[in-house]
Order: sequence, then C-alpha cells, then structure tokens
Amino acid sequence: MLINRFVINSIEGRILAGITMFVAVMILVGWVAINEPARMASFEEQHLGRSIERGGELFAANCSTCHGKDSLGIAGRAPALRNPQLFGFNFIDAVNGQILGLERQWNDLDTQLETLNTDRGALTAELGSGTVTAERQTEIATRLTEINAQINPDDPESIAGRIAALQAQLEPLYAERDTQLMALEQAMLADYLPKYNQMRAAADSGGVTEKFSFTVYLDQDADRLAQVGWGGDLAGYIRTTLIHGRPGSNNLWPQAMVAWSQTGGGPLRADQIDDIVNYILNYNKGDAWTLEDLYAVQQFARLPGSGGAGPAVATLGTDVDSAVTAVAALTGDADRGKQLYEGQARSQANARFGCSGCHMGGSQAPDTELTWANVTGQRLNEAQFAGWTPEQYLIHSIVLPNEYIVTGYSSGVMPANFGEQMTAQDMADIIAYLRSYAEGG
Amino acid sequence: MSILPFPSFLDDVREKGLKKAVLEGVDETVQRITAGMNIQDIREALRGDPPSRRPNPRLSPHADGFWLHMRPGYFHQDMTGIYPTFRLGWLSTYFVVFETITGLLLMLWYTPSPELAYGNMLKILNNVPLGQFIRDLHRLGAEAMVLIVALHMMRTWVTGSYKKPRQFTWFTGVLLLTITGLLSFTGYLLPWDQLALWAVTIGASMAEATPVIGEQVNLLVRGAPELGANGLLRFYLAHVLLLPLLLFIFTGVHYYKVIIHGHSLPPRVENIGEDTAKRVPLDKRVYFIPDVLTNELMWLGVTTFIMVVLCIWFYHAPLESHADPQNTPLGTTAPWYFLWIQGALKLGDKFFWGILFPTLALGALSLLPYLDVTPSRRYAHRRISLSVAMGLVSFTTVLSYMGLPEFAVATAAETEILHELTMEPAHNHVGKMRTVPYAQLVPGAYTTLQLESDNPRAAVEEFNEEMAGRIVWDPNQEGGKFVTEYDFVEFRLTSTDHLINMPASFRTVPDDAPQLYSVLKTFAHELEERHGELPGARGMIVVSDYQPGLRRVDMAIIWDGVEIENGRAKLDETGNPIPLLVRDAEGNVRMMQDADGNVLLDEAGNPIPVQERRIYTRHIYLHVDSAYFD
Repeated sequence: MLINRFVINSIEGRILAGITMFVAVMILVGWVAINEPARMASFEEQHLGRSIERGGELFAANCSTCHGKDSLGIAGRAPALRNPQLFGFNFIDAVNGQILGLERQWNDLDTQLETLNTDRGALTAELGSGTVTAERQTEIATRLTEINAQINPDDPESIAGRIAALQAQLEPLYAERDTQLMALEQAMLADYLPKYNQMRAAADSGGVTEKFSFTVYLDQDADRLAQVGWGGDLAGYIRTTLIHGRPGSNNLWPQAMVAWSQTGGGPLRADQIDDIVNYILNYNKGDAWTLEDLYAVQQFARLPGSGGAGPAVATLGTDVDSAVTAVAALTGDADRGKQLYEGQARSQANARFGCSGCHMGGSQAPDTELTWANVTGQRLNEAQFAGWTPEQYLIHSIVLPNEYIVTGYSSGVMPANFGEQMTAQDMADIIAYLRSYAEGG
Repeated sequence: MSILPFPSFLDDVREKGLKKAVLEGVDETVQRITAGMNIQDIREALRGDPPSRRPNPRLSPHADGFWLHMRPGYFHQDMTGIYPTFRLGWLSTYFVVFETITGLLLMLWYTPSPELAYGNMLKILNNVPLGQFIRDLHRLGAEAMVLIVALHMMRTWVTGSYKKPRQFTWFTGVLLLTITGLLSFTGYLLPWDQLALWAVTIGASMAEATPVIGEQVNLLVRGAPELGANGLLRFYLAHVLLLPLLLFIFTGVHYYKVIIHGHSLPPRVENIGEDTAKRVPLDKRVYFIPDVLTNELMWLGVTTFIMVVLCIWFYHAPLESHADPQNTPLGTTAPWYFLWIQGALKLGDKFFWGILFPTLALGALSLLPYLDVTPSRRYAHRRISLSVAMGLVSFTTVLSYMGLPEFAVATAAETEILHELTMEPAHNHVGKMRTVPYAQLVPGAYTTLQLESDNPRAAVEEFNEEMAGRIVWDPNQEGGKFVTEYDFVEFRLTSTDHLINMPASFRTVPDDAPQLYSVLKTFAHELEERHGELPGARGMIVVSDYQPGLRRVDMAIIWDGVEIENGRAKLDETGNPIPLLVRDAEGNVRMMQDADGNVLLDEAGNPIPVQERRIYTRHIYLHVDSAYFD
C-alpha cells in the first residue's frame, strides 16, 4: 500500500527528484532575477502614477480652494502652479542666452576701456603738472599713443572697435528679443516678470551695466527658482513650501499659506506631501510649454516689493458712508463687474480680485447667484441692518468683511483690503453685477 | 620524528605516503563533522546498501551530533507514508525555517516607524532586486504556516495522538499554534498600509474589553490609545524577537517530546491502550539515515519549488495605500485566521465573545488530553471526540463567515455599488473602473441609460434633450431651488468635487472602448440588482482630463429616494417601497410645478407630489502608468 511508504520508494528516485527540484528552484529564481530591473522600473512608474492620483485627490480637497481647481491660481489669493515660470521654462531663452554672452564680453571690454580712460586721465594730469622729466614725458607720450589706439572706435582691433562690433552684433538680437517680449506683454500685464518695466526703463536710459543686468533679469526671473534664489530642485522647493507654508506671506497675499505637513504642525503626513509634490510636478510639460499656458495663468507668484504699482487713483478705503455716497452717484456696468468679480479684468487701482474663487456653490462663502436675494430677503430684515440699503450692506461687507459674518461661515477668511484696491466705479460695477441676478440675469 | 609531542600530519605523510595520508585526513574530518559517519559510510548509505561495520555508524549522528539529536534514529514503517502524518509537522518546521530566512532578508530593508515603514515597502518593491519575490515568499509562507499548523493540530486530534503519554506534547503544540497566530498577526501590521492598520485595529480591538484592566492592556498592546509609532515598534519587536524566541524554545520542547515518546502510530496498528511507538520491531524500522533524510530533503526541494512557483505566477503580497488612522476603509476585516473572533464579536457582548470565548476555547483545547482520558485511539471508539472536532471545524467556519463584511453589516446600496467599482486594490480585488486601460478612458459623460434601449445613440440624445427641460427639486440647497436635472448633476459635481470640465452633454461609449463599456454594463447590472433600494436609478460616468497623463472619473447614481432600513428598502402593506417626499418648512408635501409656478396634474387630475431625487457620487483619479489589474 503506497500510502504507507514514501511517495518515491527508491532512494535514487528521491535523490533525483530532490536534485531536480533544487535545480528548478535555482533556474526559476535566476529567471526572476534577470527580469528584476524591468519589473522594478515598471513598479517605480506604477507607484509614481498612484502617488499622482492620490496627490490629485489631496490637491482637490486641500489646495484648490486657493490655487484654483485647475491650478491656475486665483487672482489676489494664491499663485498658479500650472505655470511655465514655476517649471523654469524661459520663453526667450535662446536669443537672451546669446545676448547674455555678448553682453558679458561687452561688459568686460567696457571695464577695460574704463581702466584705460582712467589711466589716460592720470597720465594727462601728470603731464600737465609740469614737474615730469623728459624721460618720463617720452614714456607718457608712448603710453598715451597706445591708449589712444585702443579707444579708437574706427580700428576694429582696438577695444572700442571690438565694442562697436559687439553692438552691431547685438542690435538684431535686441530687436528679436523685443519682438519676443512683445509676445509676452499680455502675461506681463498680469504680473509675469513684475520688475520688467522698472528694468526696461533703467536699461533704456542707462549704460552697459543696466543693459547687462536687464538681460540677467530676463534670464533669471523667468525661472521661479532662480527668482527666489532657491539652490535646490523644484521638488524640494514645493515640498518645503508645503511643509512650512508661507508664514511671512501676509505682506504679499491677504491670506498666509498655512504649514500643511505634520512636521510643520499641519494636517498632512509626509507621504501625502510627497503625493502632492508628485501631482504638481506632473504639470511639467518640459519643452512643450506654450504662450497659451502662460496666458492661462490667473495669478503669478509675487516678489516682495513688486506688487501694486498702479496709477494713483482715489480708492474707497474703509469709510463705508462716504463710499456709499460716492457709489450712489455712479452707474454700474454689470458686465465689467462680472469681469472684476471673476478676476478677468483689473480694477482702476490696477488690482485683480478673485471673488468667484470662493463665492461659488456656497460651501466656503455665500453663493454669488443668491447673494442679492439673500441680502434683500433675509439680511436686511435683521434688526441690526434696519434702514440699510442693499448697496450699503454690500459695500460694508466688501470693505469691512469681518464686521459681520453670516451664520455658517468663518471670520477672517475674506481679505480685508479690498477697499484699498478699488475705486467707487469698480464697486458700482460689482454691485451692478450682483444685482443682475435679482433681475434674472 | 616530529618536534611536536604528538604525531603530526607530516609524520603521517612520511609514514603512509601523501595520497593515503590526505584521504585519511579528509575521512577523519568528515567523520568529525557528521559525528560518526565517514565517507565510506555516507557512500553506502546513499547507495542504499546496508552498513558495513558495527555498531551501525548511521545511528551515531543521532547519539553524538547536535542537529540530529532532535530526530529519532529510525522511524516505524507505518508512519513514514503520507498517512497518518500528512507531513504536517514537518511542514510546520519547514515554514519556521523558511520564515526566519525570508524574514531576516526583509529586515535588511525595514524600519519600524510610521514615517518610514510604508516607504520601505515601496523601496522593497521598487528598488530591491528580488525584493517583491522575497516579500511574497514571506507573506505566503506566513499564511501557509498558520494553515499548516492548524491542520497539524486537527490531524493530531483526529488520530488521537494527544492521548497518554503525549498530553504535554499536545499542550506545547497548542502553545505553538497560538504563537504562530500571533506571529502572523504582528507581522500583518508591519507594512503600515490601510490593510495592515485596520485589520490589526479590528484584531486588537478586544484588548480593551478585558475587565478591570482593559485600558491598561490596550495601552500595553498598542502603545497608545490608537496604533501609532509605539504600537508599530511593539508589534515589530514582538514579531522579530519575542515571538520567534518563544517559538524556537517551544519547537525544541515539542521535538524533544517526540524523541522521548516516539511518533505515534496509526491507531489501527496498536492494541487499545498500548503505546508501542518506542518499541519498533527490527523488521519495521526505517532508518533516518538514509531513507527518511533523503525523503525529507526531497520534500524540502518540492515544497520550496511549489512556494517559488506560487510566488512567481499566482500570488503577490498585497500592499494597499498608506495607513491612515482617520480614514476607515469600507469592508475592513481582521486577517482570515482571526475572522472567527470578528464573527463571534457580532454575536454580542465584546467581553464575552471577544475575550472569554477565545480564552475558553484555547483553554479547552490545551486541556483536551486531560479531559478526554478514554484509552482507545480507534476512530470507531471516539465518536464524541471526533464529533466535537468536526463541530469545532464547522463552528469556526461559520464564525469566520460571519466575520466577513457581507454578514450583518448594512451598507447603503449606492455606497456599496460605487465602492465595488472604484475601490483601490485590497484583499486581492480591485474596482473594475480602475482596470480600464488609459487609452479607453475617453473623456466624456456616459449614462447607463445607453444600455436600456435597442438604439443607444437615440436614447442618449433623447435623454440630453429631456434633461435640458426637466425640473427636479434640489433638497440639498438651503432655501431650496428648482434646477434642471442636468444642472443638478453639474452643480453637485462641480461644487463638491472640483470637477474642471463638465462635458456639455452625454454621449454613447465609443466603440473602441470595450472595457469602459463593460464597466458601464456592470454598473447598470448592479443598479438593477439593487432596484429595490434604488428605484428609477440612473448611473453616470464622467471622464475628464486633468493633467498630462492623469484623468479623473466621476461616477454618480441618481435615484428616487425611498425609505431605507438596515440597507434594505422599507416596504408598506402592499409590498411597495415607501417614497421619500419633499416637504416644505411647514411639513406639507410639495407638488410638481412647471416653470411658471402652476401645479402640474397627473392623468387623474391629482397633483403630483415631488419625490426626493437623490444623488451619490464618488470619484477616482487614474494615471496612465498606474496599471491596476484584476
């Protein structure tokens, strides 16, 4: 009865079966090992993909309220992340790179020329003092001839001649760059390269150094990391920002970015921070960024001291009563109000608002479409607002947002500086827009 | 002569010649290593010849060597076959060694910290050559070991081998079973993924039901009120130090007892009440060397081969997403070998079923040989004992089934359907929506309505038109407002879930997306299955582009609300579901109105009450490289 013996009864059979099995195991393991590099690579991709998926989820839940659900930023609230500038894509890189090289040479030659000029001045002064010996006079004369030869722009071999040649080379490049910069103008109006106008003016008025630094500016500020002087890579920049938030950003943004990582006292774990980083990095188009991507940006990153250099106009401030009087005298344009409300147009004080970023759906802030109906139908019936007009209530809510909070929403969420960023006409337009919902608009 | 006070190897060479001296030296060394067998003895043994010298050199490794002193020198011929042992005891030991080796390899890449553990798992999978393979082997080995040890115990019960004189062997066996379960359980937590955290959380939940010192026991086990850094470290240390140490010690005791008492023979070959295992007649002896040894080495090869084949083609250790104590996944269970406790907990009191019952069960099991003292091991004489054994198996199976989330856990139909379709890989199962190839995830909005008509294109077109004008009540909007159904969907999707692009209208699934179609079909089928809870249900799938290589899939169910009790529709006297009607602030039922506010009447001239239209949505993101498979 087989069941009462070994399965393989002969010792040779058992040895053979055992050896076969061990060899088979070795072959299989070897086969697995050969395939490991490919498997590991595909797992790496797969896990990155899943991380991006989770990042998308986290971004939608935590980040999109300020950075926009499409990551294009919300005007006045937080900058875009789907932004060629963040990924260091430079739209004028090729021509600007050439210019930079030539300007560096020019700059060096200029320095030399300056030294020669200084020398010449000193020598001339020495000669003029009348105390030099004949021997020294000859020496100085020789030296002056040498220097004169170098500063003669007609001689192509001289320093001045070489500078002239460089300038000739640079002219068409400058023209080309100007054409390219023209193409970027629309984005610049929206705060891309915020110091552009300043730098341009300095470059146009001044000498070589300004010109040189303008090129350097265009070279660096097109890349957010270079702009802020970040030494590490983009992933590190994003991760650090997520971990610690932007505690000092009150100077730039009405609302600071909180620390998101548990390390920094926030709600997210380290792996979740990594997921969000991977998600944001997934916006990278490499060399395929287009001007459309740049124009799509709703809000660019800001630099300290670069914001809000608009025309000097009378803004509303926080004086509700005079604002009400001023607004009452004006006729509002609902269409322009809508553009202001959605951040598509700038206020007369050159600011962009992103009201609709929060005032939608009613989950974070009262819903735009219902605002007029709720104000007239509910708010003004409350005792404290007895005798108020809806305009008065709205102006009060916009310039002093924290004075009264509708039940269900939190205080301190809405920026309190809108009064300084809009004129009476802007306010009238926005009110006209809100009223348009009551009129079935 | 040597200058040494004893003859040296050089003297040997001088005396016997180089060849002979070397051969003798090697022979002597081999004999020392094997504790008694020289090359000639080994050669004879492996050829199957009888030993050529006396006393039998094949017994001396058992008498003088360390490794074989735990194995008998010869076995009884009647227990070398598959029956009666089924090799289960041997397999248990095999897995002890197997798990130790694979576990040590995994330890090289693992840090027991919540911040690092999951990253380590990804590193093992992504960056360690053969990392996934070793992890699969370790995990599969662990689960197999629990099963094998349990079967070993059942076998011992069935053949009555626990009876005198082997009562204490049985007792150490129960200890080993417990230790094996705990080893597997503590190891379960280490990957620190959702599966690990929640399975262990459920498994450890009864600790706090301990009377009087429940809180202290809970703190001791978990290191904090909830599992965290301390808990993980404790589980890790128990898994790699404490429990293996206990396991090795009791394995030693268990083996020692086998030497002392011999392997118990099949019940039928012995007289009732006798134990002849130690008195094996000469003609029944099967010597360990060479027969049993070659047999075991062969099985070592065979078992390893099976494990390797399983781990290459059939089994991969699960790894879900990172553990998140704030987010309880739907359908969490304890590991399968603890499901019976989870099932028992559903019967009632946590202390009774969670603490007392398992303790009593294990206690009764340990004491079995002292409770069942009848002398006979014959099956025919042990009807009660065998019935109890079978009853125990059945009871455990039923309890384990009751531990499954399907049993007595009421989940809303809409939640269950969308969870099934979108779930992350867990328990060797993944939501069907995730398995659709990226190329077939064509952006657009699709509806299950497509499947309810012979002309799907026309049906969807009609639906689009119909929706543009249909009025439904949006109960979730404060103050309330009427919107078209389409707006309603859009409103909910956009405002709560941040959808960027809602397609303008619904369309039929393109022909080159058969898998997407298949998901829609499953979706429609599931809705039909739960028709009672979801009357008038329509499923929607919205695929939208999000990022390069990343799409978002929103799934929604819209249905006429009915009253629900325990996950099932509540029925009125006539057996129909009770619709949920929309009421205004005064509690009056709202009637259907047209756009101008006139009340709409049905054919009989009665106003039509507005039935609550409900919506449930769920969404996932899918990346082109994610590669989820069935």
